[in-house]
Amino acid sequence: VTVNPTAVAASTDRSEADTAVHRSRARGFKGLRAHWPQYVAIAPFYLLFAIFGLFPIVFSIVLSFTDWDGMGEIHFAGISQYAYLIQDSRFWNAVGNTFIIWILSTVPMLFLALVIAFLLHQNIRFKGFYRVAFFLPNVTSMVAMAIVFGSVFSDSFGLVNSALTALHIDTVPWVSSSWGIKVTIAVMVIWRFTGYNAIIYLAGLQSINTDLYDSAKVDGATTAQIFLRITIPLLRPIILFTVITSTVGGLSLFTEPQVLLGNGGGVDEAGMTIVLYQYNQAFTQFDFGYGSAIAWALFIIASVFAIINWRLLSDRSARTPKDKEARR
Amino acid sequence: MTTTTGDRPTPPRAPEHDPASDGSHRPQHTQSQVDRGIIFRARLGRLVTHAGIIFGVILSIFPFYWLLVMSTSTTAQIFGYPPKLTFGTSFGTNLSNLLSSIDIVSALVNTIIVSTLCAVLVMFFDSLAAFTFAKYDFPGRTRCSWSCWQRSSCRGACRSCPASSSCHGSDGSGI
Repeated sequence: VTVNPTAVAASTDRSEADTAVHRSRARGFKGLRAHWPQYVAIAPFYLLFAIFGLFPIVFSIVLSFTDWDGMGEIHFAGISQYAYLIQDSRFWNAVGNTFIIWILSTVPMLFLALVIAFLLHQNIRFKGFYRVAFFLPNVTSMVAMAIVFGSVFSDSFGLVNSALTALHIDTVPWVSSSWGIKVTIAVMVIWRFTGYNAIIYLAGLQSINTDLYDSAKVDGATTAQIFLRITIPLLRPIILFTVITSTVGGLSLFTEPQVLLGNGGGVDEAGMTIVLYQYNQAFTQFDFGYGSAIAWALFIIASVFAIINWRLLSDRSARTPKDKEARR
Repeated sequence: MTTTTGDRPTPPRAPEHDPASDGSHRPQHTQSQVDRGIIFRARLGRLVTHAGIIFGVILSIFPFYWLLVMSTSTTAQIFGYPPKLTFGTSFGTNLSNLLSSIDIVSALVNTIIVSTLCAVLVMFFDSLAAFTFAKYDFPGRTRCSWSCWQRSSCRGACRSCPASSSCHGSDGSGI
């Protein structure tokens, strides 16, 4: 019978941790009081979180079961807000828009980011400048850039339509047609976050040991094979990270449609996203109860995606049966 | 065409070690021909790389440039056809219009005050908490730091929570 050294190490760790826990429990209230400076030092985070994080979350759960215009009395309304939500076509339109924009932006964005990272990873000059240039959009206020995108994608005489006219192609009503609006918003998202994702991919590429490439080359692997068999698998956790962050960002898309189209979501609400609809209901219609219900519906949708992402992440690192045996 | 380590023209090598070849055997080529081929492919690769990067840089920088151009042009010039892509001469007029319509100076001062306060307070509270977690042992340390870390790692996700999505960045602590 062979003894698994990691299992032994794990069990010693655990017993040490157990004794530490016992020790700290034994100290009890005295221990808590003796450590008051430490508690004071970490208190600001918890205080701020309680006031600006926890309280609004709890309060919005309460609000979602009420009818409140923000000033008058709060009337309890049971689950009627949620009942209305399920058959609200405007809400489902917003859900659909959010997902379309999310796919239109995330897929090209991550692909472009990977290409840019790949190119930036070569031995080239001015690397620092290129990196800053690609990252610059991410630190810019989207509100300021809305002016730019508004003029570039303007229906009548925007830059894009001028270019199309010059090429004798029919112009596209970018901000007044259903697909035009979605594409414009997606372009704004792509412009802003491609550089950010490229920098993350670049960090991932740099962490891959170059010996792997060299040995693959010696073995006669082509560039494509190297990319598909070495780079992509080793970048997998990083790709998943960017997918998760862009999922979260895509589901809570708000700034871009709001600054481009205003609170109404554009023509036929084609640019109405879930968060924009929530904002619209709560802060322009002053229906805080319904706004909170939308927020929690979004929370449920986001949770589903979080679980999917989490399953994808933990798939590879799942314990093999051998490990489980060692733990027994 | 390009690999991650860069297609540097490698000094004389046997054809079968050529990184750019797809493993196919090419016996009829002489050594110098093969070398020239490698150098050519490496140069082409670098050219493609640079072209791709510069194209991307132009796309990501252009909105900033366009913002500058717009600040020096009149509305008619911006939306005219063909659009004028170079700097105009109306910057002075635009600036005086801006200064007369809103109090931009005090808005800037407000921005500076808020961002400075924000940065200083975040640094202060964060380093205080981080130092405590790193240097001291106290009951509940692991659990507290875990919750702190959880909160920060899912801060993006919390955006989709009701509270913060309607008032972005409400937690000034930034922790």
